Amino acid sequence: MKKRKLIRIMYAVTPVMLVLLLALNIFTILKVKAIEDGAGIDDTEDVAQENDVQIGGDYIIRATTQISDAYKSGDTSKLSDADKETLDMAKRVLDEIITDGMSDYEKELAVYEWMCANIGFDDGSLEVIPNVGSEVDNPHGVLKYHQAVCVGYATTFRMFMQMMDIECMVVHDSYLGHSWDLVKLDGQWYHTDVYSDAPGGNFSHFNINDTEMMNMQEWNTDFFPAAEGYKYNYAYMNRVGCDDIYTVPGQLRAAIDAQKGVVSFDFGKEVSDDTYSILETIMNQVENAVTSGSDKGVGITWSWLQAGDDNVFCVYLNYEKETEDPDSNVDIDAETQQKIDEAVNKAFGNIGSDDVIIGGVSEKTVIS
Amino acid sequence: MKRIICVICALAMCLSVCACGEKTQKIDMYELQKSMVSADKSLPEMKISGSWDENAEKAFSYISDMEYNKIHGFFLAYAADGMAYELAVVQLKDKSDAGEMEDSLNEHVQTRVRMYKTYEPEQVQRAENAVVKTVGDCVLLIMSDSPENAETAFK
Repeated sequence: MKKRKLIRIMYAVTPVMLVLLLALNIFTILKVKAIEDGAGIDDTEDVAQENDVQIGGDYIIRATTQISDAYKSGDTSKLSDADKETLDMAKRVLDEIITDGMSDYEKELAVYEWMCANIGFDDGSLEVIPNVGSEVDNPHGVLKYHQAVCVGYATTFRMFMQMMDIECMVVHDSYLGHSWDLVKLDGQWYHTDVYSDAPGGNFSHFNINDTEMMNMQEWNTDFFPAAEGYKYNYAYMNRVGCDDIYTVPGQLRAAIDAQKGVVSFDFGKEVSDDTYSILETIMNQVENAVTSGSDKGVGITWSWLQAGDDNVFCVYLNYEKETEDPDSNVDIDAETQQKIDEAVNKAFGNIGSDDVIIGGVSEKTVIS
Repeated sequence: MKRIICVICALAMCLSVCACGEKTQKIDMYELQKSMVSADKSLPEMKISGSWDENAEKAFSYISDMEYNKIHGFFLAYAADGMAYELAVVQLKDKSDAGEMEDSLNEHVQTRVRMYKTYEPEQVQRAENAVVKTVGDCVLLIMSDSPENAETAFK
């Protein structure tokens, strides 16, 4: 009798246990799947939004309209202390560089030039484990400490534009590794990447269009507006006519001597294949001469800009600051040099200061 | 009979529990990084981080998104000036995670390549030539001009 009762209980309990086990399994599978799905979303996938986007894993693009709105309205009551300080610093910059009657383009140019000259790139951001100063990704830290990563440049530039009622957006690339600005001038959008041009400011990333930017970056073109303008491209605005292609090297020489950032040549509506080839050869030779000659440290890049019907050949120059070799800059008078020669000769054999050592053998230098 | 079956079952259970997970010999990551970094003379000044550090888990997250509890230990040596020089060794608790680890290190390398394309184009080639490989229960990442030196030191 007892056995039968036990069997009846088993019959009742076993199916319930099985159902519970099945439910537990399904729950576990769903939970694991949810965790796996969620893991990828955090900070690795691109998003169709301008703000609250994480770049390089550490830097966040944050809106600063509360500061620009306060600047325009004069009401700072809703600002935090840090925002108030940012506003004061930004005001001082605008008071210094913006004058009455400036066009939007001139205002943008003034901010670009000020930022190139006054904000430094924080090299520590390139390290595998970034070693950056404080607040390098927002206008407060950028204006206070004058060090920035790309997000800092882009958000500070946008804040200045918005303070002056110029439409501006911060764009991020599809890999969440870089950010820059889109600026609207006379109804057309342009890309401006101050970070990539700083510190020299050679205008190679100033008011460029989608075609040019796409040579360097990928971004969500469905979300961000198309930039098709060229009217306010710096190279286009400062182009010169070119009737004789062989004058290009001479003009580049003059530009390097004058430490200019960009030289641009208008080749008109039609450019022959010969012109393309000759120009490419000229530029390769100029680059060789520049990198191996006395202009070492000058960087040179070139590209064609299709501006309406015009074909503009743009050459961008940048000048690395030469780091002084402490050994090469020693000022020695002739008498001391002779003493040094004698001492060294005495110790190491007959080697004069005009000699060079090649493979351990002394050879007299030939000065032509 | 029932008792014998019970004992056999218990023994089988003990054996199966003991069989779970292969015991690996834990490597002294601090010493390993010293030998590998010093073996590669092409490396510039390097910063070092590893499982002996207080913030090891955070440091590890910069090179891999793998769960930290899946590894025995790691070290990461990277150029102090941000250029494309890196050495990393990750020792896994379970060898079967090596594929996942390699994938995440390769993804890290691709992220670095993209970054250098934007900021330091001269570094791109070295970053692209980075070596990621599995040796035993360890996964190695070597980004250097002469990766063979560090690899030899590892062996």
